[in-house]
Amino acid sequence: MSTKALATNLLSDAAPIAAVITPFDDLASVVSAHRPRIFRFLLASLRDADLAETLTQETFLRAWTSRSTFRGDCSVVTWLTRIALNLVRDHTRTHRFQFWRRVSAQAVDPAEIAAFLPHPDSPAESRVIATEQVALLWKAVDTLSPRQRTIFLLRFIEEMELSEISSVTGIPLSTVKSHLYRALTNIRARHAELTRTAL
Amino acid sequence: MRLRTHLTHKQLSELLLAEPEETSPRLAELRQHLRACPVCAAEIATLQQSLSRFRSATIAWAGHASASRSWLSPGLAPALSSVEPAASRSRFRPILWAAAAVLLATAIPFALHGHRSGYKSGAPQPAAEVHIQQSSPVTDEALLEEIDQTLSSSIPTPMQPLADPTAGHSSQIDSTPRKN
Repeated sequence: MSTKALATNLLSDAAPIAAVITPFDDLASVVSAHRPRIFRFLLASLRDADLAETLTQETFLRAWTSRSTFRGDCSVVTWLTRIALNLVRDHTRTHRFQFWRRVSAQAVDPAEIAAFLPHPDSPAESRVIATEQVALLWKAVDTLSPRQRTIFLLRFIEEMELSEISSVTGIPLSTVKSHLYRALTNIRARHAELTRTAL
Repeated sequence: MRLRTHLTHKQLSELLLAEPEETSPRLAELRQHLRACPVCAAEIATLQQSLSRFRSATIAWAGHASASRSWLSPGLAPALSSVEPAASRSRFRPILWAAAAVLLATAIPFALHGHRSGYKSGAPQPAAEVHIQQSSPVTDEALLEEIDQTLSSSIPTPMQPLADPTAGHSSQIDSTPRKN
């Protein structure tokens, strides 16, 4: 083997050892850019602000400690959301969480969430209807399975594309669509009930 | 496909899930139906409005919850403060290695010098033993003196009262014969 070929081989072997620069090396920038979104997703998933806050911190800590595994195959948001979702799964799987979920006063009531709906220059009657719609949607979301709920929130709150949801959840695209169809069936049924009651 | 009736749930869902800029012959047909059918148009408009409100309320709620919190945990703070770009880490690595080498080169001669001086003083005993020897002469001398005294005396001290069974009683015993 010639010296040149040997040098080329050595360089190609040494290349993976060199430090890879990832977006997470500048953690402060990543946190300031993506924290509101991750916190929002966790809050919507858990409906507990304290827990959402804790898991938001844990998400960024895990992203930073495992930053060497980030290869840039997906966007930073997708990667962070994937970590956040895994944390939600780990947390909600525990019996302790399920117990406290039943008895806790921390979980926010759908009506309370609906009260945050901005009402720019709308009449009082429209406000009441709008607030009821939001509360009803949240109640409908409560009835969804955990997987359906996650997909629904990623689509209709985070406005992720279906392929991105598939990447975050690790669920095939066709299954993501099926879950969304089912979730929308539930939402439409509830919606129809509200419309009938209002009439 | 010609749409003679209202849209099915699946078709409505397809329209709800489609991106605004997304185009396909099927979507074009569904959108065409919406333009022609006020019932389906109203149905999808109401759903879209509800979903939009749902999103707005959730964003406002999360914003409110986030604003009222100091969220930086002790676990994350060191990560944030100690973070430096990988490029700068790799740039400073040779300097760190050089500094470590200089420190080692300085420390080794001192260590060797100390080792050799220990041999020159002719003190093969470990430091701990030397310390014990210096601290014990008084005790040893007292012990030896006590042993000497014990050996030089004919009767050991504990047996002294037995040496003369009459000792201590002579004044009480009347040794003069009695006259009957």
